[in-house]
Amino acid sequence: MKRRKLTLIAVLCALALLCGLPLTSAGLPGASAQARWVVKLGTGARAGSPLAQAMAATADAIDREHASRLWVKRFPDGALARTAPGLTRVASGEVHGYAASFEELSQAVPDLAVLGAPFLFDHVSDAQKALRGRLSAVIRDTLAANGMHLVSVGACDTRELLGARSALETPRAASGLRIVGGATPARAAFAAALSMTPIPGDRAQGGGNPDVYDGTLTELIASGAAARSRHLMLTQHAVECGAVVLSQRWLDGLPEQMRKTVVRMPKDIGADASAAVAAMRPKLIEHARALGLQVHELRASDRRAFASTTRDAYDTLLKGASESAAKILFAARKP
Amino acid sequence: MKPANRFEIAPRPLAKAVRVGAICIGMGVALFTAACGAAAARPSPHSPAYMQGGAPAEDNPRAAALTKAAAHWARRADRTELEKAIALFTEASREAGPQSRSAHVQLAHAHHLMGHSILTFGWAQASDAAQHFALGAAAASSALASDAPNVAAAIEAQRAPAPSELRGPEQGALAYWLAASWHAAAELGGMADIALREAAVRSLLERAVELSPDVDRGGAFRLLAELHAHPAHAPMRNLTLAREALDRALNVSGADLRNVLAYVEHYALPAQDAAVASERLREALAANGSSAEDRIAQARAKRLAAELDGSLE
Repeated sequence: MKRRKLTLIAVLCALALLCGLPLTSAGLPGASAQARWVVKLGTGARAGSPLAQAMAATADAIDREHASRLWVKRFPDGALARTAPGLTRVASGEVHGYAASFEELSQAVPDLAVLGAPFLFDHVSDAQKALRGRLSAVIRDTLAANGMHLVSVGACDTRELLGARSALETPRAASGLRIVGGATPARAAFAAALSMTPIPGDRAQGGGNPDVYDGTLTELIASGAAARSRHLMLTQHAVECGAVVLSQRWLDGLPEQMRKTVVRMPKDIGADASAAVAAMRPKLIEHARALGLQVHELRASDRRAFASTTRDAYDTLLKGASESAAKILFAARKP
Repeated sequence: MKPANRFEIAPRPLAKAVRVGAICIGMGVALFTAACGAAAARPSPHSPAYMQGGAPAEDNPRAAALTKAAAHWARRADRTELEKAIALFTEASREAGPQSRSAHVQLAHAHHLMGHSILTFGWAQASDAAQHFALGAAAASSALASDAPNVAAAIEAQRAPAPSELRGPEQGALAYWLAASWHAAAELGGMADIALREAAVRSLLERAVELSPDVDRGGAFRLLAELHAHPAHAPMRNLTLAREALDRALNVSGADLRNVLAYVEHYALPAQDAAVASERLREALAANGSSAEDRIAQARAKRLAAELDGSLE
């Protein structure tokens, strides 16, 4: 009897302890479970590509600083662009961060299209240098006006030309040819400045019987255009960089201390991505040679001729654009 | 001396006769049995072994190697058995020469499976897997190129042969294994390799699905779906085409777990279709396959399930 009573008392005490603990802890300051914010970071680029690497580097930086408060979810392969363009969802705050090329960014922020202007930079290293200077600040302001915070720029690549049948070593050789190169304002302006006719043709199937293809080396080779061509002109006629942006609306919702550390991420966060792009280039050019293409580098005089002939593209890109487009162009040309 | 009984003399000659007779009969039986056994060992002119070698097994090392390899191949989920199968397939394809497409299909298949088993189960280093993918590509390309100089030239230049150069289901199967080996090796090599292989891999697969749609239980459709969903150049992504290819893979083999898992990886996740992703992943995790291919798919499904809460909105 006594033993049974003691057992009953022990059980009741244990139950009381179990029930009491949560009530007690709820009263202790800071003892309640801290909320974790979900951070959705996306990119349209393929997992493992330089842009996706830039997104991953941003995710890793956030994880290192804020693992207990922020839960970073990573979405490569355009997974966040199913219901609406990824960058539109960044501006609205549905998506918290995105890694995109300037070309993709310019679809949400048209003023950025001028960054694709032909021969804006002599070399990709000039673009990277400019982006470390005043140009970065102007781009940052333009993005901020559109609800995005610029984290970093990198993964810079260049666009080249493929000649299906003939080489294009002078601007005159391009006149009247049919070009497949996408429908962006910068590419269309380039084609128009050289009196080339853009055709929509399916690049993967060679539709439309084009004479010229315009794109990065990855684009020209992976699409199969290189396998259908005879000449590769390393014109480097436009620089394509990528940027990692965060949603300003999302940032504004974070606790102040957290917001300060998130926006203070290392500016060279895209450096590995740029190195990855540079490392790919020799291999892709060697592959073009293996496919039987003749590879041409422009002479300095021909490059100047192309730059001079395509100057009209700047006016085309600035027409109808806001003052910030002109500021971007000025900062790019006078770093 | 008078015999003890009238049978005393008679049994001696009779026993001797019986003994001699028994020996003769025994030898006859033995010879007859040996002759029957020899006849049994000789394949019928209509048997696969005879068609492969055109000669009795004991005179045809390739047929013998293939027969032994088949036994090891049946147990390919075990690493040692798979290694033995590869060694025997290699011997058989060497004996046959590049003209024997079936031997080279088997060898390419075996190397491809070994590469993926290494990567999934950690049997060896990734570099060993890359070597197997290279050997698989070599097996497939040597058979494709053996009697077609244009095909040889195209493969040498890292292009896909023109579709009209590839004919028949065996060449379709070889095209598939070449594409699959190139693609697997490129995935290990990085983005540059992926970009430079993609066009040729795509072209080979498009021909393979026409000539040999059943190869690797829908493998050509499965790999095409992967290219449509995860292209090197992002604007080429087309999830509609990816889904169509996956539906065709499932039509070939709805039971193959690789097709089920591919539906998650190459359609449901990029499309953020949570319902389809969950349903297909549950199906893959609940399945009880024992083949090497099923085991690889199940291991990948488990890893994906563990990551899934980070992959869906």
